[in-house]
Amino acid sequence: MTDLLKLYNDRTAPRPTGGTPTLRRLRAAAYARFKERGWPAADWEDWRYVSLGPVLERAYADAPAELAAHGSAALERALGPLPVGHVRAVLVNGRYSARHSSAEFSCGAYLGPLTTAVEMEPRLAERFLGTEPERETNPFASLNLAEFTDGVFLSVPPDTALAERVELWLVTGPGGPHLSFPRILGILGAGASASVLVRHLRLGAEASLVDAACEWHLLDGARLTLAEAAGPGPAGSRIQTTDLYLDRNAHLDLTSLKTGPALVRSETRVRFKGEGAHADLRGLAVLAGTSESDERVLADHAVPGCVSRQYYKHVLADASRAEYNSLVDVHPGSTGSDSKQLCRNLLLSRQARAAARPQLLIRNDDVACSHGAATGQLDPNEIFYLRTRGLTDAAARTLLVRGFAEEILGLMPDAVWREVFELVLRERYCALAGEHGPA
Amino acid sequence: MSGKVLLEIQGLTAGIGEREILKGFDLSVRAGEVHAIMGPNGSGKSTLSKVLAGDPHYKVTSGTVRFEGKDLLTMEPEARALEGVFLAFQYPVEIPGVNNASFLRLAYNAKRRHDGKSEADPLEFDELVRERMGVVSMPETFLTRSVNHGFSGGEKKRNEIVQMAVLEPKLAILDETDSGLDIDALRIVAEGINKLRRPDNAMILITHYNRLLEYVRPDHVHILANGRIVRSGGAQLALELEKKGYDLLTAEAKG
Repeated sequence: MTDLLKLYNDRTAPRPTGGTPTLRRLRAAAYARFKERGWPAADWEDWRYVSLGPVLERAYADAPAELAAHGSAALERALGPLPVGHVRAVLVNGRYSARHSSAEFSCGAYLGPLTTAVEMEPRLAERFLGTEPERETNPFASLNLAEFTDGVFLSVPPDTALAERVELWLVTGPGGPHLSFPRILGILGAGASASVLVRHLRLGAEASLVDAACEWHLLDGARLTLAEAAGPGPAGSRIQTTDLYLDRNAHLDLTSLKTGPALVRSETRVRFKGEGAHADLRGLAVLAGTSESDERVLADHAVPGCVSRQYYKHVLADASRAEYNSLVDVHPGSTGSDSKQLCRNLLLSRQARAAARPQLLIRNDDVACSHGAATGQLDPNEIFYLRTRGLTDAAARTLLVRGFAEEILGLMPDAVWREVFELVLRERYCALAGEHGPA
Repeated sequence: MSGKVLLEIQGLTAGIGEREILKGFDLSVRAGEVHAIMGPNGSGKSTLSKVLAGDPHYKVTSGTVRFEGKDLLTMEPEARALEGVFLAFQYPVEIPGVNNASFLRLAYNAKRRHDGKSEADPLEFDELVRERMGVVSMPETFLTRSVNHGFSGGEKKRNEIVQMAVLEPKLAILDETDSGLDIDALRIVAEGINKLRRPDNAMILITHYNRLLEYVRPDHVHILANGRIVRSGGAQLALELEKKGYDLLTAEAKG
């Protein structure tokens, strides 16, 4: 097997060959862009702090089209029974798994495999898929568009408040390590609303690489509540772009939770396309071991009168690392833009590292923009206070970590997804309880 | 006063870093007693409370502290709490994100486990905590708020008394619980303290002024100066102190 670098050095065209002419054109453009840019180099500022070497120098096997029986059983256990009032779509190694999905809506919404949708409705790809592949700066985003074999597509008709909650599972099967290109495309018609959970799941401990791309289009007045949760996975990596396009008066509420795997680079790009749109973005990462998280956020205020709010928190134990890199770009003429960028880090060990770089690019006067960042440790006075009430040192630390982290959960508008997050975090806290921070 | 001895402090010398603050402090407290320790700023009042609670910032260089015959100084802070020692902080710590109800239940259940009793479930505990909140008329909204976060000075001090009411310590040390309270808040807190007085527990009130002692009548008053007790007496000593001031009284003591 050849490693990833060599594999794509040798390959001259994207691997998938089928699909509609539009799709083929998009793939070819994306692949050309990927070849033109190349892999992130040491002097690329926005990849500088990502430990990409081991990821690129690893050889990846093709993931099987179907999970083996034991993998399928493990997946079913992890998925659990479908809660009443939920619909679910499952991608396994980037392929739509009809047998694990259940996508019956009470209204005319559609949830299903992306390639099928694109074949049935070619204009879909023209208008909404991988917009402007020629200008993409992130090679992994280009590569996903060139190489994705399937994905999941959610479409909510105009003026429809989706009664069902939507679960989108991006599953990495056991074995490998594998390379997969899961993709999500979601479109909320004008005046539509939906609440969606994106759940990343790893069934094996292998160092599989997930190159994920998510695109959400919120048309005029649409409202999307999006929660994204990733559990631990000791060895793997995920590199993801999430593009969110907000038309006039659209409203986005996004909360992401990461407790692993070893390397996550997440690039979230909010692009305001119409006036009066609002985006609330928040994230929480609770990391241990040598895990690293590179959180990149862009709020592109290309039109007047839009609001973006960012609040990211990191809890870092052991030798874990987190970087928050955020750019608010206020274009000329985007008057009345309103933005906040805030990042808080809690370091539980001397080896943990956090960096926060909130940046502002303001190209007109009439704006209200603020940013801030703070990094600290557990306060010995708080620990002592809790211990005088009978809590052990470990219990006191756990309680303080929870208090720090759960502020983010408290801001989530959908209590059902908040419970999911709480479950993911509970295991994490237990693992951190033995941690001893700086005295 | 025929209660058994709860706390026996002998020759306690302690401080921060190289600085000695307590210099041979002695005190004996029996069950059922309320002791007031009064003294000017810097006399060592807060050091005493922190040392008894086990604050790791403070270093004990000599002396002994026995609580119900056990060596208190070798115990971790949580062990002291579980044995029944409680410190009401002069400056209660704000803990954003941790709500009062779950914090109190954690603390209460830690004590229950230590006492070999079963833990209270959320419903049982809810009933108990609401009853105990009544001691200082704490409003119901307090339960869902973060511990001391954004509380007024008076609310913080009342919260300390609620914790004390829930944990039912054998020995409570109240470190300037009266400071920063207006007259109404002082009365509420003092009434709360009086409700928690029992023949089988004891309290040490650390205070700068006589105010609190007008509501909570102490059995013994001690005047602390320069790290040791220079005078002891009954409740009338606090009145005398108020008339004469610390300078005169400590001068008399030296003379």
